[in-house]
This record gives sequence, structure tokens and C-alpha cells, in this order.
Amino acid sequence: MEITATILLFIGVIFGFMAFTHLSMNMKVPKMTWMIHLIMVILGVVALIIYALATENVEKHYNILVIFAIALIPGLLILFGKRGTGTKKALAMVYGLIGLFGFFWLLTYVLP
Amino acid sequence: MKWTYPIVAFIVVFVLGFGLTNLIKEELEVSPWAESGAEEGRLMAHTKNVTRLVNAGAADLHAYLQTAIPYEEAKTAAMSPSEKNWQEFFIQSLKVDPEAKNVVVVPGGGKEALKWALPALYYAYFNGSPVLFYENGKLSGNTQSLNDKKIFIIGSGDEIPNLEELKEAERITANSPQHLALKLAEYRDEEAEFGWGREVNRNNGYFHYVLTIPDDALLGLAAITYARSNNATLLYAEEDGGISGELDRYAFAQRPDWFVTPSEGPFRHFWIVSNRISYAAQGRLDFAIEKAEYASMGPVALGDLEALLLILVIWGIASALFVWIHSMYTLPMVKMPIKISWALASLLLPILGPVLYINSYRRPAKEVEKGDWRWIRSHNQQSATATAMGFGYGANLMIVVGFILVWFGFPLFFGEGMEGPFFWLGAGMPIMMIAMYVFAVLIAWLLVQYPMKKSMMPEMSNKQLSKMALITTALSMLAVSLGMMTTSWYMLMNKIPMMPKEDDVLWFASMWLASFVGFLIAWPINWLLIKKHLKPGNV
Repeated sequence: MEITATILLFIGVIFGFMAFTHLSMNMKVPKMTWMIHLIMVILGVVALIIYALATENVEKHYNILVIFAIALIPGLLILFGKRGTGTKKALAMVYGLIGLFGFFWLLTYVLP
Repeated sequence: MKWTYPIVAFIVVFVLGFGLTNLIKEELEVSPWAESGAEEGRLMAHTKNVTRLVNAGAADLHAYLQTAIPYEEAKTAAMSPSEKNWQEFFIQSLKVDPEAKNVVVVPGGGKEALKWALPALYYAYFNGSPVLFYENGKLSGNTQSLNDKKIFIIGSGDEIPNLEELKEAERITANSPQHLALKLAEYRDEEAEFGWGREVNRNNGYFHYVLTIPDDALLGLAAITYARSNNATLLYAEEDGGISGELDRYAFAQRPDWFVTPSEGPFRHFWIVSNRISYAAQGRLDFAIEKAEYASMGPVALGDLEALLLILVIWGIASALFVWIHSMYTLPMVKMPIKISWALASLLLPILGPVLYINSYRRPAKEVEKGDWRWIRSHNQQSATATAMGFGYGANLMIVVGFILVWFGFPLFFGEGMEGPFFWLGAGMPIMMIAMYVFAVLIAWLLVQYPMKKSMMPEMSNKQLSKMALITTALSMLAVSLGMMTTSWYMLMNKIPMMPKEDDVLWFASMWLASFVGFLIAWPINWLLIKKHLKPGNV
């Protein structure tokens, strides 16, 4: 389940990066791009939660879930807030940096 | 949108971001472990850096060591040493090296002479130096061996007079056998290859010590086999079984430190051969040479080099963020690949990157075609821009390739073909450097330089474009490599005592520093490329 979460989140990272590239060039983010990012991230986090509940391992990745919860704040502001592109760009950067940090933290456990 | 540039940026951010996050995690994980360090456990448990060889006298100790250390090279005379035959015992044990560059002259005779001679006998036995004993006004042994060799007179100072044949000799004296032993432990004459040279700063740490008291010098002689089997230096404790301030100072200065795990060397050890050395002294010495973590690795402190270079890395990240955010908001007329390269270049050029970036764009600009802007810049500034364009992608990619190689490992080639003068091509560092260059050039050529040239010169054929892009990529990255590879070699192979791994601050920091130097070397080379109009410098 840990590997599944990593793969799902990795796909989420790639689409998130694509969305951010569009945003930073002042272009409209294609709906498919941010939708795939959203779905993959949600599935990845759900997989992580299932892992935390099911595993007998000492490391349950609660810290990563907390990091993702912090990233969720700017993420939700981008999704639901009615703001200009400038603010969205800034929020996307904060969201991306926190989210990437959480993903890298997960990778340090998964990579050999 | 051209996706190749963001893909390269993504690879760089992904790999380096992961590496730096891993660095933070490793440091955090080390911290709680290091709090209950080895020293603490040591004091509560048993001594492991000190072994006391309990014995019933010199004959007993000698017999035991003959079976315990059965190596031919470290063999001693079959007879047991005694106060009467100690000179004979040593001469029979010594295997003289005909190429030895030094001769040792020590006092001979009774027990008192042995006290003074023993520290030098240990080195002579280790090195294969001929030894002459001075007794009753004359030198024993073969004085022919004095020819063409540097003579060292070891003793208390006045025991051995200035004989005719010892005119050119160097005297090493002290006011007590304890001081003399310490002096020899630190002394080194490189030309004559004499003295242990075991001072504080040494790159080679694999050696031991034999400890006795002057009154039990005979036990020290019985254990002389350690001088060869364990590279052991002889040291003396005080007659009451305690250790002097000088020995305490010396032993603490010999404390080795580990870099990644305590299981790595060097390991130092005291072999206690006198039964009269106190437990307190043994405990103290054990504590003194207990391995400690290298200062940068735990919560204790950062080493000076780590601290300085860490600042370089942090400023680099801050510089990259500044340039990226600034260009994202304020320079809509600058194309995406250029913005990415400025941000990536600033990542490796703390402060300098943003300064050059600002200097490049706070200038008059003109739109040569729709959406295609040019800035009016000095020749130097154009060179800096051109360097940053190649460097931003290239240098980062080289670090990325290097990180992946050290993370996953890579095969070394030590086949028969690597035996000759090109053996170094099969070693780790050259393979890594070549791979870093080749892979980085290939990626930068295909994903960055070729599409960039294509957009700038659409009229040129694909074949020509591809060739031109390959040549300019290879050349400009070769220029960067000149500074980058030499600096990383200096840092990783020479400056830092032990090769840092990819989860050490020093690995990343060395790469950052090397890239910075690489940019400074490539800048004047790009000055020439701008002059020849081979590269644009005003985009």
C-alpha cells in the first residue's frame, strides 16, 4: 500500500508540476491536468491512510499526512477561492513546495 | 508550449529536492541516536579500546603472544626475554631491512638502559632499522651499518657521549622514559623515515599502542611483536600505575572519529602489559580513544566547512526562488526556457545569480519580432548571460546524474585492460565524472539546446541544427567541467578527510562549490563564444 500511495502521488506530482508550469506562464490550466492531479493526490492520501491503519510497522507515516494536511490549506484556497492569477501563482508555489517536501519525505522511506 | 524545458527543470527539482530532503531526514534521524552516544555506554559497560594482558611475567607473556600472534612477519626470538639477555633477545627478534635509511643507537646494559631504549626498539623492530647498543664506552654490533644512514641517538641525554663515528647523529632525548616515549610517538623525520609521526592530524589512523610502566619495561619488550602485527607504538604510564597529563593529552588527541557509522575505522587500541597500571588509568585511556562521531554528523555541532558550505546551499535555494518568483511576476516578455535557466543557474550561484539576473534585465530592451525581446547589454554581461543559459541546465544536470549514480551505485571496471597506465579510468571518481559529463550533455543537447536553437534559427536544417547544438553544448559544458570537476575532485578526494556520501551535507555542498567555480571558469570562455557570435547573450 505504501508503494501504491507513492506511485499515485508521483503521478499527482507530475500533473501538479504541469499545472504549475501553465499557471506560472499566465496560461489557463487545462481542466484535465488539475483534475488528474486532484484525483491522484486524493487516492494517494487515502492509500497512505489505509497503510497507516493496516500496517504493523512502527513507521505509519503520520508525519507525512500532517505535511499534506498543511499543504491542503493553500490547495483549497486555489480550488475554491475566487482570486486573481497573481495570488493563485503564489498559493500554487506554497502548495507545491509543501506538497513536494511531503512526497520527498515519503520517498526517503520507499527508495532503496 | 515547449515541454522539454520544464521536463528538465522537473528532473532537477525532483532529484535534487529529494536529495536535500533525504539529507534533512538523515540528520534528524542521527540526532536522537547520538544523544546516548558511545561514550556514555562505555562508562557504564566495559572497556573495549583497552585490553589488559594478564601475565605472570615476561616469559609467560612472550609465550602467550607467540601463539596468539602467529604471523611470520611479527615473529620474535624463541628465547624468553630477561633483564640479562634483553639485548640478545632483541637482536635475534629484529629483522634488519637492508634498505632502511636510519640506524638507531640506544643505551645498553641493565634494566635502567632498557627503560630508555625500549620506545626506540619498538620503532626499529617495526621499521627494520639496525640497532647499536652503547655500553661501557663503546658501541656493540656492526658499525658498518652506520654508513649512508642517518643515525639517531635515543636516550636520556648524557648516557651516550659524542663518539667519532656518531658525529653527524641526531639526538632525541627527554628527561624521563615517559617523555621520551611520547616524543618518539609524535616525532617524524620523513627523509630518514624515522619516528612514528603520530600527531593529532593524520590521514592514516590504523595503529595501536602498547602501554607499560618503565619499571615493567621487560614486559613491554616481551610484547614487541605488536610493533609489527598491530603497528603499535610503546608508551609509558607513571610508576604508580596512573597516567601523566602529557599522556592524557596525547591519548585524547588520538581519538578517532567516524563519519557515517561507528563500524567504520579507524580503530585504536591500548594493549596493557603491566599488571600495575590502575583501572582508573585504563578507563581513562579507553574513554580517550573511544570513537566519536564526526562533528558535523549529529546535534553537537556543525564543522566549520559544513556550516560555511551549508550557507552556500541555502543561499542558492533562496536565490533560485527569488529569481523564479521575480521573473514569473515581472518579466512576461522573457521566454520560459530563459527564466528556467536563470532560476536553475541561481540555484548554484548564490547571490551572484540574482545579481547577474537583475543586471541583465534592468536595461533598455527592444522587441525585434512579435514576442521576441532583446536587451542591450555589455559584452561581459552578454557572456554572463550566455554562460548562465548553458550552466543553468548543464551544471544542475551533472549534479543530478552524479547524485543518481552515488545513490544507486555504479559498476567499477577493473578488467585486464585497466591494468596499464589508464588504470584510473576504471576507478570510481573518473567513471562518475565521465558519466556526469556525458549524460548531462546528452540530456541538455536533446531537451534544451536543440529545441532552443530550433526556435531561434528555424530556417536551418535539422541535421545542421542538431550538430551545432551538440558542439555548443559539449563545449560550454566542458568549460563548466574544467572548474567543476577539478574543484569536486579537490573537495571530495583531498580536502575532506573521508569521501562524503550522498546523504551528507558535504556531498551537496562540495557540488555547489564546484559548480560555482565551474561558472567562474566558463564565464571568460563564453566571452570568446560571444565575440565569435556562436552564442546569443542578449536574450
